[in-house]
Amino acid sequence: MNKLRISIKELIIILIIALPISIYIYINKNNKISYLVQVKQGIALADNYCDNYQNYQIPLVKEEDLNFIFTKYKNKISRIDSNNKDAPKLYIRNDLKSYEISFKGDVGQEKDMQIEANGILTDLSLIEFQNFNIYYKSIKIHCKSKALNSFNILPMQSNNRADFINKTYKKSHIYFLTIIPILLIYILFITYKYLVFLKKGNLK
Amino acid sequence: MKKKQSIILGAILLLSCINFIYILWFFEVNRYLPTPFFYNKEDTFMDFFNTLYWSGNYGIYTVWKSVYPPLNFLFLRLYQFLFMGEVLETWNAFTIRAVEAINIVPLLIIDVICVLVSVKISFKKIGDIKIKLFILFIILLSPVFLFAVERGNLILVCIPLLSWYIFTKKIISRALALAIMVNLKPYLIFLYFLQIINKKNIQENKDFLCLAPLFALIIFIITGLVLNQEFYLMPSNLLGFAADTGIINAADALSFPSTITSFSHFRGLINEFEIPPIIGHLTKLVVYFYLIKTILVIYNNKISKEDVAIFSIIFLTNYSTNTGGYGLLYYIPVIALFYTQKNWVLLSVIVIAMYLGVWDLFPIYQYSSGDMNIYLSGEIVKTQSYISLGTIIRPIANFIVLVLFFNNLKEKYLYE
Repeated sequence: MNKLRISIKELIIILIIALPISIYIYINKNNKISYLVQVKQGIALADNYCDNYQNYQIPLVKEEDLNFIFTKYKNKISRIDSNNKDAPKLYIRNDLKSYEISFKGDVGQEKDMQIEANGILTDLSLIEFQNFNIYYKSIKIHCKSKALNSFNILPMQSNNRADFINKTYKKSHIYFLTIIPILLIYILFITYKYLVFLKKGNLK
Repeated sequence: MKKKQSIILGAILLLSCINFIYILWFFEVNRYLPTPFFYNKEDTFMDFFNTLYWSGNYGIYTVWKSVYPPLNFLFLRLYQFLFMGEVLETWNAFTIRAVEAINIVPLLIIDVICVLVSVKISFKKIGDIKIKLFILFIILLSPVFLFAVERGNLILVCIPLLSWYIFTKKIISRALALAIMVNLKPYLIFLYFLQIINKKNIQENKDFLCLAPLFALIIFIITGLVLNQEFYLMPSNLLGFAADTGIINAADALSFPSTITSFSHFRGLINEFEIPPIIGHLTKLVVYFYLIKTILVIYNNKISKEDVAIFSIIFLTNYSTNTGGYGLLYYIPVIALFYTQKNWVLLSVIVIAMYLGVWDLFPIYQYSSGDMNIYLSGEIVKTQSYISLGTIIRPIANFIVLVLFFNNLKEKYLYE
């Protein structure tokens, strides 16, 4: 076990090497924020003309539309956080019937994020109307010998949006990552010492 | 002797070929893979694609609560970089599989290379090239290998490392091999624990015992930092996984079992009559009894490195269903070690019997049938899932290996 021990001098060397890395990690991670926007998605809504006719609510934006918008904004948004391949994310939460847009960036970039989020929401709204006009507007349902336009649009409720800005990393995660370089360099150091000891003819 | 060996191995290879032809014929006629392949035929390669999906997404250890160390995800990121096109963030694991279907081929090649390397290392001093080829093809045609390939499990990457770990004479190489293996499949840490339990050998083995955890920690921390996620939560996820007995359902556990403890799951599949729970408890009790007795022999005696390695694999494949049936692949280097045992012929025959697929030609009990979207054929087909004779024979054979090995250890070290 004495091979795991280090002297004060060695501890100081480890700290000198590890502390700049730890400080860099702390500042870098502590500075990161995530930004999330939730908006109720638009739907094509069918009126209940007949007793046996269900009240249909069909989402207007499809997976391929999301991919299209995502590709358009992915490059634009890279200036917010070029290191983060997760940014941005755009998806539909089926359980909440909402669009969710999320970014990651640094403190101070909240305005940039909001501008891009607004751009994405505007595009989503345009696609909703476009899809409604193409796929649902002209659908007629025969009911009681009449053919009626059955679908109306209930567009995205952008006035009812929720914006969340949080620190990306938990405090415990940042503290742990801050300590990790010291631990790693200590382990590397004692491993090196052990290997040197073995190479000096102590290898069995 | 060599001629006799070749005849026996040739006969086993012939049986393996018959079984393989049966699998191909069954697929051609029914459009899905027969038992013992995984019962959910929509899920082919999903061990690989689920992990690959998460390797590019945030939340590996917080949302998915993964029990895989970061090295797995870095390996898959590298695989994606080398062999796949762009994977969009909006894709889920099934979409990735649909779009990147052809890019599973490099993994299949890697799987074959892993077995090839393992056989080459393990049987270096034993057989000539003909024997090695026989063994290689028996393994490649075995349901154990095919099952792991069908799941897309990275267990196959560990097999050459295990051979390297067992057969290298160098302490540093051995420690490094174990460190990498533990960073791929954490339960392989039992290989280390059992060496610590062998306390009378600790002094001789102390350099390895010191270096292996240091190497493992270095790999874990560096890969964790590169992955840049909450990798330190992995050990607690692992404890949660081990404690949660409800994770594996009956059909999962009985898809390709290696341990008789899986028999406790028959209660969950068989509806026609009640199976008393005592049977499940008894099988566990018997397995744990022999495992603990063997561990006590290891604890009280100075056991050779080879014997501890053999028992490590017997332990891992017998103690629980969590290792998965493909854990039987760990026997590849162990078969070569059986040469050190007095009853090596019997042990080898039993282990090779576990690699045979002919047992699965005999259905015992059909537990479900229904329409299923089959990934491999791309058709919706009425499938029938059944328990085969192999589901019974393999775990019993593995338990017999445990009992025989315990007796060997007892005779070798207690009555010396």
